[in-house]
Amino acid sequence: MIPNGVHRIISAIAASPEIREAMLGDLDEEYQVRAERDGIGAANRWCWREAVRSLFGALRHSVPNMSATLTSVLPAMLWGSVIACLASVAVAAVTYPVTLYAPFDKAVVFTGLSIVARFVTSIMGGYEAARVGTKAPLWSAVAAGLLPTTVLFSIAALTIIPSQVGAMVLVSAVANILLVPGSLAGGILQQAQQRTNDPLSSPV
Amino acid sequence: MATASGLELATLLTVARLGADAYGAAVRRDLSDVEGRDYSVGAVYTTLQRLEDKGLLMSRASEPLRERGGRSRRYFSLTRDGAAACRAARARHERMWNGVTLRGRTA
Repeated sequence: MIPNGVHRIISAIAASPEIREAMLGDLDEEYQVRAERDGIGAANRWCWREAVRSLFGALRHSVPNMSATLTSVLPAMLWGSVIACLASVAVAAVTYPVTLYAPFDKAVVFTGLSIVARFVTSIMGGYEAARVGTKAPLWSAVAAGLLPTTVLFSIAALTIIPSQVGAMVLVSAVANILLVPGSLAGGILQQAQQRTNDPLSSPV
Repeated sequence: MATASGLELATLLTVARLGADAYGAAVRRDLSDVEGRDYSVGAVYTTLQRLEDKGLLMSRASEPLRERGGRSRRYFSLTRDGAAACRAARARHERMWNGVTLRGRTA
């Protein structure tokens, strides 16, 4: 019989009860052969080594070609973020003067325009990220919206907007959540456009 | 239709090669021999499961066996889509090699 600890590890990584039974059965089958041939101690060592390797192997192979996916997503994420930031600077250059001459509460106008601008620029960022991250376009778009833009815009919200508008800063920072669906929408747009332009790009 | 490459394609071909004997441990042994590296049980079953989820493989359980602690074997076989994915991969490779002449130069 295979050790109880091995049983627990295999049970944890198996995708379904059927696969768990098959994996445990395979290990049991080979364990008995090794126990007869090499002794119980050697069979136990083999079994533990196999359980630990299976744990890492299952993680490694649960995402097909993970390293290629990561090397595609990371630069795409950075590029998408740069595009979103440049676009937001361009939008701010237009919207900020508008708020200066607005006849009503400047903080509300600025925050509202800022949120809309960030959402629009996150779409642009997600679009660019999906275009560059060809191995995992939608993951690239989400990544472009998720971490860097949220961090950058949170810093911007906390430092650029004057401190006396307190509640508006909070609203503005919370609105960063919109960046993720925004960038995902950009990624979906890019993919839809690519499929329209090149129907053969779909998996065959 | 789903496609397969790398370890997935190697696993599909192994299942095709083993035919009626393609259960987990046999697939792992054959795959390890052909690829020249020792795959873990977890890696092989994760791949087999993913191929089944993609509709490229199907599986059935055998009767429980005494030498497996009363557990059954899970036998895998190619679906029609799985066979088509293998043929597509072969055609892709043949296109890649078409017209290629390898002449190595010394530095």
